[in-house]
Amino acid sequence: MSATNLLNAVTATARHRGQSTGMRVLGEQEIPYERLLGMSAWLGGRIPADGDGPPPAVLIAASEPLPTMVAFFAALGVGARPLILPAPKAMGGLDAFLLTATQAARRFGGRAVLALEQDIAPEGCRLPDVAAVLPLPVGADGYGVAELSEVCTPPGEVAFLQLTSASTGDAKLVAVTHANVLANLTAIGQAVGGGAQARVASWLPLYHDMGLVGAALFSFLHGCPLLLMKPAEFIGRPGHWIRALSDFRATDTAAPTFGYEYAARVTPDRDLEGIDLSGLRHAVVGAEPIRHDALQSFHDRFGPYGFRADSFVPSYGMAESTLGGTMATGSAPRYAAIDLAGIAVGQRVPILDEGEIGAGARPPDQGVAVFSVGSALAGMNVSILSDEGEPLDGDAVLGEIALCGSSVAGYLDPDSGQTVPFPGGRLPTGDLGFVHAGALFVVERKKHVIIRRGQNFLAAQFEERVARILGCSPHQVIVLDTDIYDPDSVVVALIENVVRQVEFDAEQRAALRALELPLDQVLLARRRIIPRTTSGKKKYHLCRQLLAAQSLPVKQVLRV
Amino acid sequence: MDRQNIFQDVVETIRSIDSQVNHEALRLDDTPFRSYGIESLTLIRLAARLEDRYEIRITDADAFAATSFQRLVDLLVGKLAAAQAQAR
Repeated sequence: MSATNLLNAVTATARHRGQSTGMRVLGEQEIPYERLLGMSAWLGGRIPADGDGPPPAVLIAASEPLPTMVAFFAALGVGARPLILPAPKAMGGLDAFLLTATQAARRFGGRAVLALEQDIAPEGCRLPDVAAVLPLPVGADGYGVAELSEVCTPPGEVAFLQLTSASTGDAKLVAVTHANVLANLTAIGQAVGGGAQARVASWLPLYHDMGLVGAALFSFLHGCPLLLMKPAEFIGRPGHWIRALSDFRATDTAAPTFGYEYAARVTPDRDLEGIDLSGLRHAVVGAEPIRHDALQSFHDRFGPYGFRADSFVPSYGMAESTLGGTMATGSAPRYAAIDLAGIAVGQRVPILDEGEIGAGARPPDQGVAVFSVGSALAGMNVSILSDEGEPLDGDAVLGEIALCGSSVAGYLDPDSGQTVPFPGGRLPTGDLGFVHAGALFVVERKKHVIIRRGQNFLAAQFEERVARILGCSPHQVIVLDTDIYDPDSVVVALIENVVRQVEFDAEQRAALRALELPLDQVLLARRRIIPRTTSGKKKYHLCRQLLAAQSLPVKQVLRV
Repeated sequence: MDRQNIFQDVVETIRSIDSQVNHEALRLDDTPFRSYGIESLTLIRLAARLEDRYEIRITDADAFAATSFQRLVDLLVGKLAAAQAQAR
C-alpha cells in the first residue's frame, strides 16, 4: 500500500475496484465506494472553512450509516477531523445526545462544524455552539457527486477523533493519525488472511472503534463489500443480523460478547429457516470481557446452521490503539480456568484447567474461564507491567496490560489541537492480564468501568450520584459489578464509615432506581473497608474479590 | 382496539421480552418507564415487536417522546387511526 493517508488509500482502492464493490445498508441498494467517495467530495465542498483553513473538527450526528460515512470522508477531504457522535437512540434520548454533542463542541471553542442528519434534532432544540451546521440528507439522492482528488495530508497528521466512552461525562478524545489507522487496518488484514476477499457485515455503531475501524474503514481500505445495519435494528430484531450474515454470504463480522449471547438467546426459530453460516470465517469478539457461556451458546445455537467454533476471533484492543492490539485466529477460542480470588499482580496466575469452545464443550468445573485473545498484531507489542509500571516477565504472571507500536494513538489536547502521545509510546490499558504459551489472556479490569449491554458506565460518576442521593461523600462510596463476566451480575454500591442504621426514604429509593445504571444493592459498613492503593485510589478488582469471598465486614444490606 | 386493550397488549409484549419487570405493577399513566426498571434495550425490542404486530412505523422521535405507558398508548392509538384512515 503506497498511499500515506487514509483518504488517498481508500480512493486508490475505490478507483481500482470501480463499480464492483461498495457499501450497502440493510434493505437498500449497494453504493459503489467510488460513488460514495464522490458524494463525500461533493459534501466536502459545503464544509465552511475556519479562516484560511479547515474547521478543527466536523462533529457528525447521524443515525443512518450512509450520511455518517459520507460526512466522515467529506471531513477528511478538506483536512478536518471527523468525530462521529453517538446518535440520540444510542444515548437513550435527545437530551443526553445534545449534552454529549455540546460537551464535544465546547472542546473546539465553537469553531467546529456540526454535520447533522436531517430530522435527528427537532426544530427549535438547543444545538451545540458550533461555527456552522451542515445538513446531512438521509438518502443517497440528496447528495451530488464531485470529482475525487488526492489530498496531501502527511501520515503523522490526525485523521479522525473518537470519544473514549459514550456514556460518561469525562470522555477523552482519542486522536488517531493516518499512520495509525493504515498500520492497524493493514495488520488486521494480515491477521485475517487478507481483506480483499472478505465480505463484511456489521451492526456495530460507527461511533465505536469496532464499527468504524473494524468494519467500515477495513472494508473501504481493502475494497471488500460491506453490509451495515443499525444497532437498534440488531437490538430489536437480532435475527436480522443472522439472516444478513447468511444472505450476504458474509465472511467477516464482529460483535461484543453481549451481541453473541443476545443473538443466541433472542433469535426465534422462525428467523432461522434456510440460514447458512458456513461462509463465515471470522466472527470477531471484542470490547467486553469474553464469557464462556456467550460463545458456547452462540456456537450451540448456530452450529447446526454451519457456524464453526474456529470462526470466533477473540480480540483485544481499544480506541487508544486505533482498534486492534491482538487477535486469536484460526482455532476455536481457548481458555484458561483461573481462581480469581487467588491472583495478585506480579505473581503467577494459578491455572486450574484449560479448554476450548466447541461441540459439546462444557464450562470449566472450577474457576473462571479467561480467554486467549491471541498474540500482538504486526507492528504492535504487548507487555505486562507491575503496579510500579515495570515490565514483568514469565509465563502467566499477572500485571497491567500495556500496548505499544504503530497503532497506538494519543489524546487530543483541545487547547493546542495537538496529540499528546502516551509516555514512551506505551499505552497502559487499565486491564489486568497475563501471557501464557505466547498468547495474551485478559483477566480483569483495573480501571473502574461497568459494562452493561455494550454501554460503558464510569463507576466514579455513579459514586458521586449515589453519594448525593444518600447524603454522604463520594470517597465513602464504591460502585461495582460483582462479576464482570456475568452481564446480569448484581451491581452494588458499598458505603463505608456509616455508623448508624440506615433506611431509604421513598424519595431516595426512587432516585436510586432512576439511575441510568440501576443499582441492585447498597451495602453499608461501619469502618473504612474499601481497599485502596497507597495513593488512595480505590482498588475495584480487589474489592470485587473480597466481596465474592464475603471477606468484607458489611453490617447492613439494603435492596434498591 | 381501545386504549385498555392496547395497554394490555403492550404489557404482554413486555412480559415476553423481559421477565425481570414486575408486570403487575405496570399502570396506564405517566409513570416513566425507568421507574419500573424497564431498560432502553427492552424499549427498543418493544418498539420492534409493536411495529411488526400493528404494521406501523415507530420512528426514533416517536420512541423518545413515548416515555411512559400513557404516552406510548397515545402514540399507538394515533398511529393506528392514521393507518386506518389511509386504508379507507
